[in-house]
Amino acid sequence: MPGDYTISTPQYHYARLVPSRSLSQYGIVPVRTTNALARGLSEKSMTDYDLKPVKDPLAIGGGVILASLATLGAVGKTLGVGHMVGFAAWLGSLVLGPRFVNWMVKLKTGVNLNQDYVNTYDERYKLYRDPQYLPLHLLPDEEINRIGDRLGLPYTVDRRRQVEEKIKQISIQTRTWWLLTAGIVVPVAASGMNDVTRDFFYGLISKLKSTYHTQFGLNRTESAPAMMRHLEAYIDECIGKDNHSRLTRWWDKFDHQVVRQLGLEKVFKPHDVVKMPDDKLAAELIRHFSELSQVPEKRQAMDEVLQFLVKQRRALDSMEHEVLNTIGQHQGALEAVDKRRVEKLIGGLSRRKNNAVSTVMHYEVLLKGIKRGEISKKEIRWLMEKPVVGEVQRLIEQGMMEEAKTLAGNPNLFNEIRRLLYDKSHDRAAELMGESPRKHLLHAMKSYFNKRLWRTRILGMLGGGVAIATLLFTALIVGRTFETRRGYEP
Amino acid sequence: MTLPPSIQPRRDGPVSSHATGIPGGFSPDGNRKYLLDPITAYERNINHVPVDRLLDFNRADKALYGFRTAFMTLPATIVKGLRGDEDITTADYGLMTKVPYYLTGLVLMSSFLAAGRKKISATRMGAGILLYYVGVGLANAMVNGFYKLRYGIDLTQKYQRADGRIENVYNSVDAPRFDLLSPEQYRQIQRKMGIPPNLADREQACREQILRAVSCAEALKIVLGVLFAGVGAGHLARSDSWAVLLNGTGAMEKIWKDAKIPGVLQRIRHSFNHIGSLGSQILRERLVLGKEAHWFQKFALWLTVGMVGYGLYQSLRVVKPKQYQSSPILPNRWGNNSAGNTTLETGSAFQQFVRHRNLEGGTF
Repeated sequence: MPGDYTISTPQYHYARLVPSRSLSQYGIVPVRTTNALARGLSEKSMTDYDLKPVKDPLAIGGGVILASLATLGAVGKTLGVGHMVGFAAWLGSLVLGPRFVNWMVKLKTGVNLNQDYVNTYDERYKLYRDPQYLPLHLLPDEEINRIGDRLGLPYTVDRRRQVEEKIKQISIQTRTWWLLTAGIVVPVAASGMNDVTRDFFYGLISKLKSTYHTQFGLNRTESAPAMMRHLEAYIDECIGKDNHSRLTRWWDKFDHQVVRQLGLEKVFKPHDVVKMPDDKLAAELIRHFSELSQVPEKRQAMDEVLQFLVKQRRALDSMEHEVLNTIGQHQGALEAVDKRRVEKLIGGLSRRKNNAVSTVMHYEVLLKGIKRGEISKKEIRWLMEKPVVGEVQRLIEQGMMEEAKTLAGNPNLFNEIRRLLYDKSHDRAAELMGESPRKHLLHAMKSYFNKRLWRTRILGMLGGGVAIATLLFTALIVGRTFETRRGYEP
Repeated sequence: MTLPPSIQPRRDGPVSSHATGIPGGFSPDGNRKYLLDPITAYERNINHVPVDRLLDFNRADKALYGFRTAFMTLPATIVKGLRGDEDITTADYGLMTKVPYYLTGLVLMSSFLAAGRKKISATRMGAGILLYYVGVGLANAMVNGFYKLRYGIDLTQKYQRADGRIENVYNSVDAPRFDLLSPEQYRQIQRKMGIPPNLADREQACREQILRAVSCAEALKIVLGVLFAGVGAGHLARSDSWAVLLNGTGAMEKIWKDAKIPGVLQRIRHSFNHIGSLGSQILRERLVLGKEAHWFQKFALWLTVGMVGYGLYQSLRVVKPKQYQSSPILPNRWGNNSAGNTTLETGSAFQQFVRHRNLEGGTF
């Protein structure tokens, strides 16, 4: 013996197969990532193994969501939680997508492509990660024989070699297929998960919010948040709903309600509606209503819808009225009013945040007089395009502000409209209804039919197509023998 | 034994291939990598046996290489992967990950824009995805430029394998292809890193620092890329001006239908000016934060500024000072120098201890 140091061997690990990670074990990944990045930035050594958990998700495009998470504070808590859920769904589909494909391949060939192994440096890798180094010698003979039987390979001298070649081919094919389809599968799966979980999370948030308001929002002074709560209560009273998110969701569904109640889906064709200009569509609608009002059972439905439309209009206008009042009281101190809070409030009420922003900006303009130095021309044009503000804008131009307010606040208006409709003077009724309800109806129709166009279903169609293609690929191509071209062998 | 210069394997740098950059070339100098005897090397050279060699791409080569990769290599690789050919490599997998990387953005953007109801927000989200790619690309370009300028390390350096494939020299943090770097490159890196010129093993000293630099560059690329993409997609994309820019309010149509503007070039110039003014408007609107900005926005922006500054600092600072052995080490001094420090740091502490004990003539 040359020396005793050959006897005192260091602790030496052999490479070994390990079961693949369960979902709960992925919690270590962010810790390892942070550790690796910190070590890299402090000029210490960093290995490919450390970088792996960062690079793989970034390569599949998960960074898009990671990136928008980075500044989520701007949008408010509700949307921020939505971002979080979306990010989780994205990562989940990143993890589950390849597992699903591998499971299908396992059903056919018996090869477990999820298999992990730990190498001599205690680093955990996927067994089929690197096509140039596949440690297939770790697979026990039983496994090899089982796969060989499954694939129908004969018991010859080089059986193990044959089976290993086949396994390598299958792993390469599956990996390639996942890389090709990941760009479609991951967005589709993530959006599907989000659609399913959306209502639950938004309900949860609104519950938390209302609890917060009832506990801490008791002081109705002139401060901005208290003002907002007062307004919320008022609008809840008007519309009969208890919180904003429910109102928003209900409003979303309302589009479909209206269109179905009036039976419009059977009369109009989606493509025509989407392409038709608003004036023409309105004329068509009036003609359709005149036909409808002659049918007694349709009349009831139309009545309900019209009632709803006018009610909605009244609620909206009283909201505007209230905001005008509250801001008007503080007109001198308008600079001090937190613009963001007003935006936030109206953002919960109106369907879109854009509407909210433009409404607030519009009120500013309205109260201060239009100061074009402060607001750019572009912004004014944006304001004019908004359906919520368009009506008010028209009234300002015509100088009929008081008239509009009384018109909106008049409870007898609905009866008048109904009477006129029963008398079949539709033009006059439409005129009385004002621009806003009609616009709402047109908007509802367009959005309803928009959803039925092929291009809005393209995501689902892509997902289904990929699923079918994956089935076909697994059934027909995986494991099939081709006349492969060998690599260069010096 | 001294051989005539025609037979001796040349020990200078690799042949640069301007203008071609096409696989299939052969280097007469690359055989020194195989540690062959001179005669075999000569035989291999005259028989044109291919070897790994560095590629020196200019811009035209890079463009051609990108074109070939996208339209010829990638489809061929995909077909190969779907058949499950045996000669597929890790770099091929790396190439194929470009497909989901860009396809995801395309699918997301098209799905946003196709869902016609909320056009403004859809346009802004589409702009966010574009800005994500711009941010990541910007971070990569910045870090590459820093390290090229400061350390002379070209992180995008390509080499051609003997089988014709083109790969990146610094693709792996674990094992960059140090063996391919030429003495000239080593000399330049050494000069730029401030390592003393009269070292016994110059290349080893450079390699240690290069490894550190590559690690740092990788980490910087990831952190900066996420930060840039975050500021782009989460902050800059939240401007309404994107809708004007992408969705159009008829400004571009006016430029292209205006009879007063003569010629196509003028129109192109006008539309570029239009886009530029809108872009600067967006930057002015979003990057100058007012009182109402959320703390997280401020935090993200300042973090980005700080990380860019850190990257500059990394690139401009001198490599960590270290005691280098500047004279050749004789065999009787292996293991410890005159100062008593260990100079050969290879191997574990145990191995060093054994080497030290053996050379000092201790136990056996």
